[in-house]
Amino acid sequence: MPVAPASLDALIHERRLWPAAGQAAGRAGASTGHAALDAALPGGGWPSASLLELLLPMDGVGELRLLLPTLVRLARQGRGLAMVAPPYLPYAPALAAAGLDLGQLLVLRAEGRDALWAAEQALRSGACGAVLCWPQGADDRALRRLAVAAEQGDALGFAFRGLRALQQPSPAALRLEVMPDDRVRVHKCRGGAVPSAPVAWGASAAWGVSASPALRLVH
Amino acid sequence: MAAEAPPFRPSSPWWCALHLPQLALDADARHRRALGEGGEVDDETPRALTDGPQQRRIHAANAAARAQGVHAGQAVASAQLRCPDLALSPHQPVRDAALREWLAGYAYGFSAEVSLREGDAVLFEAGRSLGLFGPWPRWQQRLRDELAGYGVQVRIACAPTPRAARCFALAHDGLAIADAAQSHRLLARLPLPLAGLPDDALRLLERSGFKRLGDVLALPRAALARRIGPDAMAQIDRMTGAAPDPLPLYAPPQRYAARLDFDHSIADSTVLLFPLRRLLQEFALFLVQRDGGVPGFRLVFGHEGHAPTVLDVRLAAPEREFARLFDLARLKLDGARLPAPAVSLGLEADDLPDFSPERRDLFDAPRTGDASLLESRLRARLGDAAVQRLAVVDTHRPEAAWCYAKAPRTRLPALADGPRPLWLVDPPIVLRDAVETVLAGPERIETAWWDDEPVRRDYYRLRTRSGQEAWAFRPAGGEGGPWWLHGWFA
Repeated sequence: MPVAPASLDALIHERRLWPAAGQAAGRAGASTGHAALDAALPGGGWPSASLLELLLPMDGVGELRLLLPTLVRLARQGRGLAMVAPPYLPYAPALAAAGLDLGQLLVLRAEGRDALWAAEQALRSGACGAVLCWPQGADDRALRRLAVAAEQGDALGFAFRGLRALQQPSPAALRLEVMPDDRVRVHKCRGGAVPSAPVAWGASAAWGVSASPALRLVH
Repeated sequence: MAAEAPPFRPSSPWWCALHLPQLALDADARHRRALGEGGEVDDETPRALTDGPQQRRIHAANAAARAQGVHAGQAVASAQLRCPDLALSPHQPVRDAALREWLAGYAYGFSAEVSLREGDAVLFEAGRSLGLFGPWPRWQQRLRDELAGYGVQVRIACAPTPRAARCFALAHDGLAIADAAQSHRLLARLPLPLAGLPDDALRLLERSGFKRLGDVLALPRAALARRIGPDAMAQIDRMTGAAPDPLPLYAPPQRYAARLDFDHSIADSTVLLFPLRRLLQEFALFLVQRDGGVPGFRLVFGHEGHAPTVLDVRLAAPEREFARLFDLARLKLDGARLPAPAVSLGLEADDLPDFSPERRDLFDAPRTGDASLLESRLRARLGDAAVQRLAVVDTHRPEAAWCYAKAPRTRLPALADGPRPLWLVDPPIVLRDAVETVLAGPERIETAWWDDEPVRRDYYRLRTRSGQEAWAFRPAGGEGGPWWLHGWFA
């Protein structure tokens, strides 16, 4: 079917078409807090006001540490944070030790459609700088709604999904595979070339795998 | 959706009644929230409003107080006997009126025909806007969600006439009566006291043994009119639609003015931010309803024995976003010096945007960028227990070192613990995967003997064969045994 020129805007609006060049030029990214990763991403950081996908082989491979500098910075700027239906309990002592202002973080329990609704509300509200969600079985349309909400609310929407999701196309502005050993592989980044090799963002040293075994007796 | 089975074609006009069963209590809670008292409006404290000479009579009581036997009309002394920790405050009709006015503005966002004629309900014509905001079940849910978020309890019903809509809202929350025939059938079954008849007519009919409106309507008309008088007869005719019911319509104000009077004078400008925030939140909502921004507004601080302080807040471009209005007002307040403590705060604006009733997109949340509005919406839909904040607890037993916090806390306890995982696996489970490397440990965690559930464990940071980093422990002093997974270094 021939596409009338007038519908181009509509296509862009519906996220079927991305004006790649304009997007990258017009918008600087928000630093990830990891110099090596910033250098590898087109805007010099997370594409702002977008949906970003983090694809995990399993839980516990550094996916939260990757985001911590971003979350700490946003909270310091007074932006709210939300975790929608996290798979485990976000551990307050560790978050506080990393310098995160817990008062800025909302933890939401919800399932299925409610979880998508909550993520969309939080993204769109303008009150949140970043929203972390774990959409279960979300389809293209649901992700598209999240992407639009992230743009309207000027928020970073981080969607954590299994590696299998890579087989489907996604409206996310960035698709990152989180690998063990503090590396990520970029599978898609809007407005720039995809780096061919995995990027080591690691700061394992800074994260202190404490060398000396600590014996502690507490009263 | 079920509503699609028979096409739902309501009469024209079709009136919706928002009945306010707890108007005075809601208005009081709204005022207390505005002053930043008590933060959350908790339902657990028994609370009542008083009126009458020297405030000796209970005007209204919340559910917690009613459960302990407090009820409207009771003497305060006997209410306090039944419920010693009853929180009392005087009923302020001005606050009720302000809340009704605010609700009328809210309803005006949906319909150009809104009326405040009834003291306990806001009426609006819904039929003409049904195409825009409907179908009705969705629209109704939206009204409920939004109003719950603003702390207003409502009972909602629709009917072909405004009077019938109000009666149905009193009798059965959620009723939507499409046409006159159905309305007649249900009105006939309405208990007489809910029919909104003048008191003397009601007493007369009840003395004659009538229980339901239908019994009365079955009487010959001339005989009925003779008995209850022309006024009551006219009311019944308006309710059934036999006679037209012209309503005084609400007109949106041409200027905006709101004021909060404090119970105590406030000298600290950070404390003044609470009422300022509240005033601006409502102002921002008002602007969203009018679908426009203002070029500026005035803050008026009242003082005792001083002329009021007026701060003029001018905006670079017309604004309606709460966050920006608040930022600018706060900057202005920071730079100002009040000559005396403030006893009231007012907000005034003359240059209001034109009203356009076709307001924001159906699914759009009010975009004020305000966290408390977001939280209200989330709580309204997901429930209070599903919306939480975290806090740190000062203990070394890992599973007890966190809690859900009622209000945001900023204090960070200085714990000198070793690295902790970002995900806690609670309760701990046996680690299934094989351990490849021990990255760190052991860290002995041992709580004192007086701890409720003493623990004595050696914690390790492990890398599993599949590459995850686990926080796992074994009982201290034990030989081998399974690893207990307590967290992921995610």
